Amino acid sequence: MKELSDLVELIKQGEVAESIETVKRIIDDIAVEQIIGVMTKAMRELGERFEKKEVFIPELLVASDVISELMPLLEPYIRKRNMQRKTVVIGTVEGDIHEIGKNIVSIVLKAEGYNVIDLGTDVGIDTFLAAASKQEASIIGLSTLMTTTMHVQQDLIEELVAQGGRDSFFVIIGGAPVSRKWAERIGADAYCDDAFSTAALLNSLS
Amino acid sequence: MTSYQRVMTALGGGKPDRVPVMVFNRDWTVNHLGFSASDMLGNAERFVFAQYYCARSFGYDVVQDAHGINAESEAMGCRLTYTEDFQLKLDNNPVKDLDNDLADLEIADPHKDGRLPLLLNQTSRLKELSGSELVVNSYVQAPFRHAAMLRGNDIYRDIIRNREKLYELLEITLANQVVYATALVHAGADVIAVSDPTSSGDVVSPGQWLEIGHRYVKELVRYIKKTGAKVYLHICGDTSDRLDTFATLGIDGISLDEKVDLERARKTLGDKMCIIGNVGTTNMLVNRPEEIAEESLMCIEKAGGNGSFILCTGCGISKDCPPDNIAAMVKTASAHHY
Repeated sequence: MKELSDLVELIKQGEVAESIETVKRIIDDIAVEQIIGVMTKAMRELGERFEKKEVFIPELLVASDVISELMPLLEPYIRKRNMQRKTVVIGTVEGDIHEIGKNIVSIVLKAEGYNVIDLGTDVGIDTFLAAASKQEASIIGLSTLMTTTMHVQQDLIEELVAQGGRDSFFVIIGGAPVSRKWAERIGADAYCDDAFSTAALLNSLS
Repeated sequence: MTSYQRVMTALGGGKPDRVPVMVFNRDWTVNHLGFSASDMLGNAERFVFAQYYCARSFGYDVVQDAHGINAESEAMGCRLTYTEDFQLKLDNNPVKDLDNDLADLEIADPHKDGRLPLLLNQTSRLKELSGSELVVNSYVQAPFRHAAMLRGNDIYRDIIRNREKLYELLEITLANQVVYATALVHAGADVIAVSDPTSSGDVVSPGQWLEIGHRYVKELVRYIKKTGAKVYLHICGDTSDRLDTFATLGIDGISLDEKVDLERARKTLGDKMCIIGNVGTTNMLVNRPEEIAEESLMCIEKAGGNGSFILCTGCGISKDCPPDNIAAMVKTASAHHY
């Protein structure tokens, strides 16, 4: 279907209006999974170019804008087909309002078909845990860009342990000052460099 | 040599008596003295005391104003909030509509607006205390960084969707930073640090950096150099793909994040550019002093073998960094004589 291949390019170029128009035109004629497949393909192709340093954050953001605008159009169709999706609760930890990296992870995971509950920035531990429990999430993603707020990732894991709920969640951490070594030190399940490696890792768990 | 002579020699591309050392330790010094974030952001004398006391007792060569609090952006309409646990947040981006909000944007008066008078006072008091012994290093945001604070993350969309208006905003932030940086030098700053994390290689392409961040840093540096102060640039994250462009900015030094290999930086930038870096900030928090000493030595060997080098952390350290790790950096640098 030509519209689907066009849509891949429209998403990659960040063309919001044309993408919405295209999806509205075809949504009743094809399975919603195909459109999610297109979003996945577009973001994976951008991810490959991001890995090679051919595209950067501005290009990812404008493409992410398209995914954000398309998701509300797709949601009723997703519900109708009763698609099984893993739920990810994600946010930037308390004290930190950096959001670009977290937003891109959020969008890429949505494009991969995950049910993503994005709690935003400056999110307290209680808010993370309450949302993860209420939404029956299996994955918690904790982002921070600052050395000064890294400890909140540790605090949340310690709180999970204290509450006896550590085994209920796969806790993944990310952010510029964070490393695999830090993940091991604080008892996180995984550390990822970027949105695309996060998606690849979570997909490998399925 | 005094600390002042040592650092200025390195920034001038020369070889001092030994490797100079500095630490980006804003919160750490305050916390180390048992002061609070409100002391740092509201009480010049306490912050100055924390900076001066720590430099004297640990033996590193540079004192700094309260760097990285985005005070220029606060003075132009952003809102800075903080907790006593040093969690600083800047929100309320005043340029919500790039097409219509620029007309209302006014350049700040460094002697009146926001926390700028406090920072000028910190600089002035640090100079009074340090005299010709220690280097006083004050901080300004790069024009692109300042614009990003005023505009929020939409600035990255503007790069693609509204470039011409973005340039109009950058002209305003450049003008503001020229005024503020000049005021800092008049207050006593020996060195101005220009910070542009928005131009990180993890964020924008080399082309976008050249067209936006680089263009406006170069302009700002041209003005600062007229005051006689030394200038260095700091960019967070990986800048390995744009190291060569630092040579054309007119800066005296480049402060590199731990993601950049200093050997590669030295090869690219030659012997005369002062390289500042780059002990890992997370390592400073979690590693043992012996490991920090080893890492410091590696930095020196890679980029400081022939002068033009200041041993430093790759970025700002945590307030909880063990003091022994700072001591390990100083000890390693002090032992490395030229």
